[in-house]
Amino acid sequence: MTRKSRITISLEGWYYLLMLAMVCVGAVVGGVNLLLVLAGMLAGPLLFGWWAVSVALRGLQPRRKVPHGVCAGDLLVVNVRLTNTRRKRGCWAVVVEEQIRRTAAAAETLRPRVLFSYVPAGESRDAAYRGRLERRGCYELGPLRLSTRFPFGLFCRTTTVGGTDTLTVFPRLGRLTRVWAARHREALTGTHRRERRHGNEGDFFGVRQWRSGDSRRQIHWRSTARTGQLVVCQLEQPRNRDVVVLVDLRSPEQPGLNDAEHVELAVSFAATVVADLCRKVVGNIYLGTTADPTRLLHGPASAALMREMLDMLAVVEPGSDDRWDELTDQVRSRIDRGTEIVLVGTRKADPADVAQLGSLSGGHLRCIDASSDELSQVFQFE
Amino acid sequence: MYLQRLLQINMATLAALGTLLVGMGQRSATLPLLMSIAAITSVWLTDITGWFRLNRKVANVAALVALVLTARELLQFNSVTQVLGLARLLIYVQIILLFQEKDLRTYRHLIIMSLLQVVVAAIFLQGVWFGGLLIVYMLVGLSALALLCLHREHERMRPDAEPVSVPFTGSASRRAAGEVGRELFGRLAMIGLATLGLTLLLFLTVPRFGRTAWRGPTVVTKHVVGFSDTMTLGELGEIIENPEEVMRIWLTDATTSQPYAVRGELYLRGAVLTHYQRGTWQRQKAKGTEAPIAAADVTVLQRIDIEPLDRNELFCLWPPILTEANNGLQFEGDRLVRSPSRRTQRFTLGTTALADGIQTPLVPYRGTKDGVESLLQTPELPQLAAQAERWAADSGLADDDRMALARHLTRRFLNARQFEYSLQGQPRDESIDPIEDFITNNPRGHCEYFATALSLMLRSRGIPSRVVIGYKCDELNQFDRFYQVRQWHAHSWVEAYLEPSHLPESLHQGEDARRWHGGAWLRLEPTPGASADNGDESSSRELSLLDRFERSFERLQTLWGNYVMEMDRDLQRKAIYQPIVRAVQAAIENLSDPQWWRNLAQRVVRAVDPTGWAAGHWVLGVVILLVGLPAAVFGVRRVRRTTRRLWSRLAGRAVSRAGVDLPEIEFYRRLEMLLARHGLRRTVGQTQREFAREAGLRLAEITGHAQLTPLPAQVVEAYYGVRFGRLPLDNDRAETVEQALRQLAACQASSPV
Repeated sequence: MTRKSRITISLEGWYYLLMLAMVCVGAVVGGVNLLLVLAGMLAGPLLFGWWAVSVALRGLQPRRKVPHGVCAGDLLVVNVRLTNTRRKRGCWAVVVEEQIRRTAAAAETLRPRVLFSYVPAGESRDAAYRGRLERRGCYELGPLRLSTRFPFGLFCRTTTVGGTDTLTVFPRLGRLTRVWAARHREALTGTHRRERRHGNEGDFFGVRQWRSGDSRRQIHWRSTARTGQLVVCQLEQPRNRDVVVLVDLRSPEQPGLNDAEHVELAVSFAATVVADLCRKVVGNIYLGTTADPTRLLHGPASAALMREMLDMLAVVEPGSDDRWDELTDQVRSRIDRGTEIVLVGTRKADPADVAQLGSLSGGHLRCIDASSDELSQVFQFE
Repeated sequence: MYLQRLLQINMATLAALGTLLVGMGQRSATLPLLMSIAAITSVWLTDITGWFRLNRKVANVAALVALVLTARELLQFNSVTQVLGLARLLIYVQIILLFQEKDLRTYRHLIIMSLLQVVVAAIFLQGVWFGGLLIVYMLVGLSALALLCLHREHERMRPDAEPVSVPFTGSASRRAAGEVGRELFGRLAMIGLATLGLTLLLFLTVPRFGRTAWRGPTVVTKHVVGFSDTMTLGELGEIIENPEEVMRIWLTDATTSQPYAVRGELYLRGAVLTHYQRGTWQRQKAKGTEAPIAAADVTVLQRIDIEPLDRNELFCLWPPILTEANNGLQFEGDRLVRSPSRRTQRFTLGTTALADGIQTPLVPYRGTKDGVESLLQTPELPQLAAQAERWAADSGLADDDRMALARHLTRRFLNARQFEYSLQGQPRDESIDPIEDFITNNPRGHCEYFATALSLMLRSRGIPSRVVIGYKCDELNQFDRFYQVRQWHAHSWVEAYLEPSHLPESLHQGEDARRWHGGAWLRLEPTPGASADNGDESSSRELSLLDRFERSFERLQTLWGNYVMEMDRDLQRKAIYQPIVRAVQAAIENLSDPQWWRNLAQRVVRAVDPTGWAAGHWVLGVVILLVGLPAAVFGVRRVRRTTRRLWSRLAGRAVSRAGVDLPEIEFYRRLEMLLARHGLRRTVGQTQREFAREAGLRLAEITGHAQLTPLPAQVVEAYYGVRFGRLPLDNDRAETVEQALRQLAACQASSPV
């Protein structure tokens, strides 16, 4: 862990220094002995304050605990633990400043701070900073900057402690509407018939953890009481069917003002669909984008796959290169005919592409245009 | 909240202490009292309960009012008044600030104002109490600064302290017990102690450029205790000994210019009292004036620094000889007066009063005979006259042997057991003259009684005499070789006039015979005990604890006055620089002197030889062993640890000089970052080399570029060399590493993850 340190004099320190200089001049020029005594007493805090500040950060080890990922717009809470490894001396008023910057773009660096008012010798203290990152992507956290002005606020010692962490901010997840659920069911069954038994949405299949959007009526109170966490009844057995999600992020050479917004909507929708499928569908899920055609992520629906796919969507960027054919070639080579395909794009899908994918999916193709109002019927942000 | 409350109380205390310091300089208790009340009230009403708070507008108006109130003083062309006005303004503003709701700005202003106040206070002449209080102020100030620092950091972390647009908010760690506790104040106390040491060091070593130290803008002239144109017996009552300094006298040999050493006390004459009437002495204008003494006769120069007093007499060794034409001095009959001043004055005079290291008891008289005839006036004092007659008869001396007779009467006062010196006021029989009461009924009193009794007895025996009031001083400052005259040195004694025929024959012979043609004044000291220890009665009895404390405090006051307030260039040279130079020179000489080493060795051998040890030595030896051994072990460990730390630092620097510095290993961090973007992270227990090998393969697999495989390993090999082999990264290897990193970065750019 590398450390880079420096000591600067604070504004209060400059004022103090000015006053000390005035007293010194008065004492020496005027021969006023009491002013010389006072000058000595003023010099003490300056000198020993500098010394105290210079050793204040020795033996302090900050550690942060970063979650693997967080969705854009969700609350991010990062715990910081400061350990004082010194045997005797406690430390006061240590500010740990974080640096958060998005790696893909030259964005502004965010600098949240936490204060450790007192850490006794040989002990640790925890503090946390919290906030929301509105843009998806890969963020680099650190290095941490420790600073203190203790004891007198006249000097500021700053130490940069090496070591960075990476945080992936997933696309913002929204909520899929009933319309989307109905369409999905239709795609699964291949008919317009809704399977409803006993007036419910389905037969009891099992229990699972509560998720945002679940009805309160579905809460399985007995299991909730037993586990201490909200648990809901899963009424319908997930269908075992493969789903392909293709994200078309081809953008024009001169993107307009709304293009970036449409890209984010498309990515968010795709991420929401993928997350939903990973939770509900028992089957293989494929995810491909025009931005990364060489990598068609696929696998059985699982939390790990969801995380991997969200990771991919977190850093995906629109491009003007036409890699559609490359993508469809990959899809064609990996999926069986009749696999449901969801095409998410930032513009109205090309009829030729639709025809191509339609034949591949055996008619189970759904196209979502993020730039149209159609998206709002199936997808909403909470 | 606890921190803030503590800070509020601290600030109020600081303000009150600052005002108290100013009040000590001004010799006024009004403002400190006002500020103390305001400080306590503000803590309760403004800080704790919040019942009364001045808003910004009202506070500004109040500050304007304060400025108007002090404007008259500030605008006067008198520095003292301006300083006082400034101090008052600072106090008013602080009171206004104390009654405002406190924020960081208020606290800062309070500290600055208080500090300015102390600066103002330091300009005044201050006693040792000021020094003690200044230390307390310093400790409170340190505490205030530290608490303000903590408070400031907490304020910065408050959510509403951040602009709304800030997307992240940090929190403070849970308030730990002991944040503001013993450890914090212990640390501050240590800093305070170190600050005191530094202050002492700076004070002693910072060179002084002025010939004399600043003595402050004097506001009040000192009152001279027991000194006036009339002296009424019993008027003083109980005499409180006052250590306040009145003047300093340096004596220099007029021929050699070397300090003149005197054995015994110095009698410094102020004025003479000649007319006695029922317990009261009065000064009468002398008939005629004495002829001046030629400057060539001067044997000793007396340099006098006198404080501003409410009397214009210059107290000095008599006879004084004016050596400077415009000295601001003039003779008024039998006294020497100076122009009134509110500042310390310095005079240089000559004198013939000293010979062979003592102040001669005889002073030549150069006036006319009329001048002494009135000194025979005696009121009706039968008891006193009878006593004088008895003592004279007892002596068996002839009436014309006046010198012997005068000395005999003086000795009777000194030796007679019934006469006792006392500083306490004595009850007197008011139906008779107080001196008659002193002789017959209550023979206790202070120097005025003894001087009066002797003078009147001499007169009753036909010897002209008078009472002299002034100072008798034996307090010699060893460093600067000056006599320090204090209020408690005030004294009165007797001078008897002797005609030439009554002087010893030896005086009429030789070159100086002409000096005695007019007769002489014989100084007589009738006060018992006065010659030994200033007549302090308390010295003869066992000192109580309070007395001891008072004595110690007086010594402290003396030290403070001499070595703090009066530290100037000369004193610093003599008291500090020269001893240090001498000690260093002696040390250097000793180190090269084999005899000194031999003596040292012998002393050590004698000291450690247990055969000659007494029980005390054994105890001391055991104690040293018990304390010294752990201390030595601790010291060795400490030295070893420090050496290791220094060595590691030096080694680090050496490596740095060789071109290997920690920042250079940043290239490995860059590699990790690049690989992390592909999801490749080193696992726990994996070495950098293993990680690089695996990462290279994975990278090739992910990107499809097989040429990337060896790149991480190349970088890691360089890292191993630098980190563990302490090998400098030469240009070729640095270029290789840089190229590998560039390729990895380019690969990432071309193939988005």
